[in-house]
Amino acid sequence: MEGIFTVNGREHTISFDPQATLLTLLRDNSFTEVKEGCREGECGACLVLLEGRLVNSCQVFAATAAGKKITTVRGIGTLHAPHPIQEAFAESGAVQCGFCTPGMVLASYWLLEQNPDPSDEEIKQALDGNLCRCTGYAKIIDAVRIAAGRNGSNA
Amino acid sequence: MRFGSQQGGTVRMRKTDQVGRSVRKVDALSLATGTGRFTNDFDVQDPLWLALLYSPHAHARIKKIDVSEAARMPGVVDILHHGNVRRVLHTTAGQGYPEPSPYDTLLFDKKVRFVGDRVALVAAETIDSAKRALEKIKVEYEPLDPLFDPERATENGSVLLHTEDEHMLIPAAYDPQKNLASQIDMSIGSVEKGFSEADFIEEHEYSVHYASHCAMEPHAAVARFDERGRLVIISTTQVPFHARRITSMLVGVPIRMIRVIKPRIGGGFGGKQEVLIEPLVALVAWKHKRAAKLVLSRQEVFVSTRTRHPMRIKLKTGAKNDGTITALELDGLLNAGAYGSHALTVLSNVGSKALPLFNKIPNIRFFGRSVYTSLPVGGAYRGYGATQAYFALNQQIDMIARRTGHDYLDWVKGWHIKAGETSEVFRALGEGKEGVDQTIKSCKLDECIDRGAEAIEWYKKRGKRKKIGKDRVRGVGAAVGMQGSGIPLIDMASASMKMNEDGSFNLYVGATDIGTGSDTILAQIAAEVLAVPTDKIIVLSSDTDLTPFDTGAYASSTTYVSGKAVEQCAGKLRDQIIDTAAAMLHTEPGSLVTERGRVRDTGAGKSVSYEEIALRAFYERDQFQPQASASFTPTESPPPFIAQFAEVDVDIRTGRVEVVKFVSCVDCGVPINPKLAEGQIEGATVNGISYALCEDYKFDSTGRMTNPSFWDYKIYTASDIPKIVTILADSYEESGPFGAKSVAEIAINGPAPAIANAIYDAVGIRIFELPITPQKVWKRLQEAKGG
Amino acid sequence: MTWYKPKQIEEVPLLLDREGVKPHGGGTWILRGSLKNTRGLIDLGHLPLGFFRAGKSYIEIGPCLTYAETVHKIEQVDRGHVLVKALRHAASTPLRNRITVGGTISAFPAWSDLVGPLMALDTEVSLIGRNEGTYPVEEYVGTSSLRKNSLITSVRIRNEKWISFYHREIRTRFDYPAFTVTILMKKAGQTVKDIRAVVVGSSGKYRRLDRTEESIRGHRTDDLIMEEIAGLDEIRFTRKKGLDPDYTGHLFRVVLERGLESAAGG
Repeated sequence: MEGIFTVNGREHTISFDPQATLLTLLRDNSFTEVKEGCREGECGACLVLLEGRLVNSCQVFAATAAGKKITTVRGIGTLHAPHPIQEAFAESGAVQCGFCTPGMVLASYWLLEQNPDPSDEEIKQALDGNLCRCTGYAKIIDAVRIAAGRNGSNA
Repeated sequence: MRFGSQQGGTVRMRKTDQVGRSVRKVDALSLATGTGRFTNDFDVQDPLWLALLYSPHAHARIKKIDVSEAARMPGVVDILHHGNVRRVLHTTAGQGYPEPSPYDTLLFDKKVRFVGDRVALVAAETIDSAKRALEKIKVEYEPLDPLFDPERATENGSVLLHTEDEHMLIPAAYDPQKNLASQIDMSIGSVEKGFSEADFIEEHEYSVHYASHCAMEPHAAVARFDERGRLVIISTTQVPFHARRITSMLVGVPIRMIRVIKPRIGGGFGGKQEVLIEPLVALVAWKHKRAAKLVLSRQEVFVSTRTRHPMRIKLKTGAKNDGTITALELDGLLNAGAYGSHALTVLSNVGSKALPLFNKIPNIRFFGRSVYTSLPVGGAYRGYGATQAYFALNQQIDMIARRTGHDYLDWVKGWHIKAGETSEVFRALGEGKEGVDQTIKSCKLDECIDRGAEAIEWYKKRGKRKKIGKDRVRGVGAAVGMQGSGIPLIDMASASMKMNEDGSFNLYVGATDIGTGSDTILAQIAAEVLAVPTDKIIVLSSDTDLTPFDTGAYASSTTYVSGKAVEQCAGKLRDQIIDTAAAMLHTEPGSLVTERGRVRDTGAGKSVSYEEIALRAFYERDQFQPQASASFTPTESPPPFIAQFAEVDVDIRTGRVEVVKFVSCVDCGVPINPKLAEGQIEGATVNGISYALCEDYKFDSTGRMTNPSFWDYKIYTASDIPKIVTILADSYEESGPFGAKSVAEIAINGPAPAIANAIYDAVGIRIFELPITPQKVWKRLQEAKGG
Repeated sequence: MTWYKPKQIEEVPLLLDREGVKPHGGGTWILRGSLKNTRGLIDLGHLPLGFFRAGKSYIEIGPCLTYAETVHKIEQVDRGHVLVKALRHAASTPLRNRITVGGTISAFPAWSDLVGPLMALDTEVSLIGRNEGTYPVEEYVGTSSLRKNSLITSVRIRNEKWISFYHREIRTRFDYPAFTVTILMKKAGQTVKDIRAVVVGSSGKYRRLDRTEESIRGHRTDDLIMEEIAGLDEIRFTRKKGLDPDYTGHLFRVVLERGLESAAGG
């Protein structure tokens, strides 16, 4: 079947299998910044924003995402014009292997959109669907704190 | 930053500019913005997709494989199994040649030895057609008796798992006729004598369990041909050069026709120090002259790759009432699983990384065996034997300290190895051969203990059993340890560098950055030597065509061994720069210094920039390319040291243990990049805590792992972590690059024993078996109550 | 496999009657299973099923409302509502943006965070399709024929103020509970005017602890003696997630006791 997917602001007409997940569709169509870690909705590496909402793309049927807006980590900032959250991650030592990072960045972005001045507990809750084995999360939480501070709230 | 070292009474201060600075990781922004590419992110034209068929039996002979129906399915190009693949015994362990692991593995065997063992491979045009074909492969098995209990593996009459021509390449104990993958028997002094001199004996049995590395990126490999017909393999490997060598051997393609590239890797922790899937993609690609791709599912990673070796340790110590240990006997049984990858080396590290810590024990016996069982296969996993050993040793010390009226920390301070000292264990325990003697040059364990104790408020909390709410009691416990920095006389690392016209440098290292940041710290070391900012060093790593050899990312070797190679290489290049500058400035090299990308004549005051030097070298006179290379093999393995502290709350009604605060204080020598060093410590710590409390492989009665998924194999999320404090001690290792040792593994060893010791402090019961589940704690509490 | 995207609710019953066709509200249940025998999926996303209506007597929740949306909406009605407590930490942040109320009720896994509280709240579900009508949620989850060829169109709970206690027995924060305990209580002074208690995840999947409720109703909160509370011995657990049944049983009693204390003090 076919559908129009608006990814990071650009429309793409894509053919896909009816049973395909949004994750497979994205990765098969050059959006490899969306990672596959478990295919079960348990690790958070595949997070995207679907109509602005944080979701596990491996748990979304592509067919139900057709006609909708999808944002990947490249949609919130680029290498040449990174988002403050991406800068904060790079600066805090929150990026080790980087495989969980796109998901973590999006989860942080979603948190700060709704709650610009989160407590540590709120940060930890917002990231509860993102597994990381490299960092022990300490510096990821630092990065979100810093990003929240840079957005103008109490540092 | 200033770092000091004490040598014969004089303190040598070294001021550094790049080293010791928390420079941003060179690939951090690339990864945060999604441009960094991992193995499965590369475009491959028209690959064959691979899918694997695994055994449902723990132990069986394959009587017949009928692939006729599967082969006819749409899209199927090939099906490989023992009947059509050359039989080449090997080890999958990513180690130097000759490997100290038994050659007991085949790509496809006539026998299967655990539920999840490989049976056949389908190569097809799409992944779906490959998977559909798997279901049509008909295998007739003759089930054999399984072997699940390591304690029975070597008994007469036990079923044997390896009965053909399996063998070791090196002379080391190996007896598959007794399911023995390795055996070590080391003695110092006489433990019998030592026990007879003791006032009391403590004898306990500890057990440490299976774990999965849970790197976020599953194993993957792609093989394709370049324009000239050479095989290019991109894979999630910690050991690109070993992968090339072993793949060449298995596929029968010469090494010169193979290129292995390691791109960004999503974590390894030892799980990717294994040459498991590169030979498969290479085999298919070479046979069909087409690209081939294999990406494992999370389930496959859990079951059919590698794990931490479970181990049973009987630890017997004799001690005097004043706390002196007169004898220590460690009888260890390592469960190797179905194959012996790393079975000898992990076993020997149980002794070699733990026993030297308390070097004043006069009588030691280390008797260890690794045995085959028909269960998932152990391999390299961060800690590598030290994790197993320290769970036992730190609890035993806690018991001895308490029994002799000592504070645990004071006892450790009195008995641990110190700078200037050695241990006979260093020489006695190598990896399949004699070890290497060394004298400790740097040890700041006392500082680690003091600063850690302060951070956790040890003296305020220890023994207080403070009540938290109605049903919880608080306690604190500690654990100490040492690891190593590379494998002396065996590891080799190499680096090469060249200069560019703008005063920047290319640095080529075989060293494998698996997320640790080694690209960055090696750049920092080169930058320090060359007196330029780190961003003037362009790093390219782990490409067997472009970068020189490196054993790979294991044994905590990269900073110390590869770092030294980089330091030496940069030094040679610096000499060339100075010589050229000398000619340009008409002076002697001896009067020149490098600073901030320039060479200055300390006498005349004139200076010349690196750009001017490079332009002259490339275009003007006595033209040459400033470039250098260096190799380094260490003669010692200076251990990092650690003191870790756990503050726990124990719910006495449910047995639930919550870690409230965890402190790690590490002597890693000089941290080349403090933030990255902290990152290693924090990651290892949280891994260690979740391993201690809730990670667990569950098996049913057929030997099948029943929880191969994050759904039911639980690891910590950000909302589970305690308050984490990380402290880097002020240390300097003179044999290391700019004073560095290593930091990658050590912090994973302390959480389990520190938590166990803290539980004892809180509620007076000891857990000897991991994982420390609420159910276990509750049961022990009931037993202690007498009901 | 065919996707159906009905724009009107009226189209759905006919689709549900087709062999191998299931409704999908965006949740994760269908992806958890095999799609081999699935001939078609009905994308409910274009239907007005994500509503939330809080009236004086009742709260009506659309079946496609996600956990996150449910928490957000109910919080505005009552911050301490049991559904807020139950769903706020269920699964994970991104999963709470997909898991639906209707999807969970119709699947009712033993680890559900939602169904226990709904049972305690005497929830009713309305169906269309073969079994059109309104049913108590307990009847719906207990009768497999009701779930065939039918779609939940509304979930209705009374809009009442209860003191609530909710416990999920988990290993790490992102985990699926071994069991959950829901306690609702209304007090008149120090006397328990009414109480509801449900355990989900025990043998038989769940139990409404009506005997327990009976033995507590009407008593004073400072008079509650655990040993005298009835109906607890009947609650059994099977061996799962590595937990021995006797330990889980003990754990359940501790949780229940703590829950009653918490509710009684609330």
